[in-house]
Amino acid sequence: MSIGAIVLLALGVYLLRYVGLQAGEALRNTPVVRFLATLPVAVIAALVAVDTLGVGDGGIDLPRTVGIGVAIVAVALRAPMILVLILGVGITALARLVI
Amino acid sequence: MTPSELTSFGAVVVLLSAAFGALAIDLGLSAPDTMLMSVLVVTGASQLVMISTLADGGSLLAGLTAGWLVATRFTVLGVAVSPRIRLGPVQRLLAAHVLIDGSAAAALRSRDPEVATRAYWAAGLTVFIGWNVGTLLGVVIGRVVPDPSRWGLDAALPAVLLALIANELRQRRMRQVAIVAALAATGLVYVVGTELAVLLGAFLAWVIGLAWNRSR
Repeated sequence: MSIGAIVLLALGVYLLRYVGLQAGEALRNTPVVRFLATLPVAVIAALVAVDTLGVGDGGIDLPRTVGIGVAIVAVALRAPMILVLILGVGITALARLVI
Repeated sequence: MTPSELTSFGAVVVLLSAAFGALAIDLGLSAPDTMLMSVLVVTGASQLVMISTLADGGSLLAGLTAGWLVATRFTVLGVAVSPRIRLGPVQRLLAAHVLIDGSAAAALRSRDPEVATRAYWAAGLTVFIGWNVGTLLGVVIGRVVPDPSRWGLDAALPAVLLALIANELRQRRMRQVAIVAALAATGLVYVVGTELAVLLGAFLAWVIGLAWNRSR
């Protein structure tokens, strides 16, 4: 990845942050804020699904699917972030040994 | 925030960023680029989303778009936080760089603007330092550990991303959108390829979520 790409990402992210802090009062109670609320979760959830299943690479990666499946259960049970991460990685490694 | 709260918060940041650093190296990013990214961007979600999109064979534009879309959460956070803290114009320029879930949450815990502002800076600084120290740690780990997928590290990418939205998934509206996005993206992979599937699936879920909430 080029430095230019990193700087572009950083600039965009910074502006989105600054606009929120700067325009706080003005944007409050406008539909814009409510509209944006679910967008990041949608992008991340889509990426989690695609990266977990690995459907793009032909076939489904079973160990990883099992690992992330367990991590999702952990999220549902309100486990702390770190436990979600450790379970996802650990169970995937275990499943890869077994399967 | 008490020192012990800050310490445990910092530890979580370091662990997440170490995972990011190791992943970035594994996905082919150079060590200096990985560090530069953490210093300039300071958010795991956008950094990971962009790197992962590019690693999946996506274009630069797709990677940037995905990274920026994810960062719209900060605009929402900023709107929520700004009335509760006191910032001068120069302070605001600096504060924007460390606006993240943790610093916003720390500030929102107090109704007193003085206390909230101090909490914001303490958490923000902790995030910035922890994020970069952790990234460095991860870069080192990523260069030392061979064959990461054997250790399940390939699952770290979706696991970290999942952990990052865990709090939001406690809201039903978010859960619904997340499930639709995941299903849509998975199906679309077969039709339009990985890079477009993520953006298109997410967009579709977002629109459906908006329509659904409006109709009720």
